[in-house]
Amino acid sequence: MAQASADPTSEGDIRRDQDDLERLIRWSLVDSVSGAEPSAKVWANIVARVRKVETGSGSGRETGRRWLQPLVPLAQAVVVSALLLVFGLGVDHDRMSTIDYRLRATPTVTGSTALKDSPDDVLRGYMLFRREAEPPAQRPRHAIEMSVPE
Amino acid sequence: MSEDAELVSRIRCGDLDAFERLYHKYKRPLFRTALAITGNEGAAEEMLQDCFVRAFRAMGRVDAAPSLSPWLHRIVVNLSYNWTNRYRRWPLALEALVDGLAAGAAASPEGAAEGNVLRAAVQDAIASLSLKHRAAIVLFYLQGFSLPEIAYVMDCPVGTVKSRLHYACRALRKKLSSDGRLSGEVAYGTS
Repeated sequence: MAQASADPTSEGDIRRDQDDLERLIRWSLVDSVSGAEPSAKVWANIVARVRKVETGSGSGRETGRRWLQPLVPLAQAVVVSALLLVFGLGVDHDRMSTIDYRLRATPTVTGSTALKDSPDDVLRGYMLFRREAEPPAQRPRHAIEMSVPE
Repeated sequence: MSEDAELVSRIRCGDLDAFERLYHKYKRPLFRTALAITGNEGAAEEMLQDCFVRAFRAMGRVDAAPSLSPWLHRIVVNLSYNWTNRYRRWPLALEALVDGLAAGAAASPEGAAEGNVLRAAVQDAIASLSLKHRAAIVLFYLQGFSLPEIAYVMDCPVGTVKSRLHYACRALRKKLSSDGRLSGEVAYGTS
């Protein structure tokens, strides 16, 4: 590991480096587990658990998930289609109701109300006169908007 | 198609014989990896069992194009992490395991005694490493995985694996150098 200690970033060096410490580690590890074998009961236990999984008596939730997995894309497609349909109908409905609203909500102006010489008109004329007398800088902004054409 | 890929496709069709073949192909390296990391034979068997049950459940998603070995080792190493974190045990049993295995290895009684001392010292040094350093050492020196394979198994960048191996070796060297049981000649003389 002498070279690897000097340059730990080179994979080739780490691999090829066969100094005493590396050999010692390898020998020790291999020797410590070389005769180790799992007992036969491990496979028997695995088979029993796998069969449980397969028959569905193990974990119902897991089995359910496994069966439901192929249906996920189909469910997604159905949900997206439904959303698109609802959205589309919603847009149509909105447009129709807007048109309807415009038709119904158009105000009808009667000539007599506009031409009447009411006290409001007198007051409005007086305010207009006062605002025009003021310099434009001091005039409030909404005064222009509120002004009534003659 | 690789042998593993063929076995996986058969297992997906419900072929338990193929699953058994897969088990017998990988049981030893997986068991030994778990044993080297945890130092507990019972725990290693339990991990081997859990590993194959998990593998069976995930068989539909696995890509077995080159080999299943790194994927199965990844499961076992994760299980070893969980076990070690849960029980906070260090692999003390390795030493006992080594004593039993090494009895007939040495030619002379002196050699056997020397070998046992050396083995015990190295095992103690490996056992004193942190879990991640020990796992990297086991995968690299015991199983002979490449650095990218270890990076996949340990779920970290290749640079991290290099760093772990470097620091683990440095810690082992330091530990062995300061071990009172070993003289300078014995410490690095393995032949």
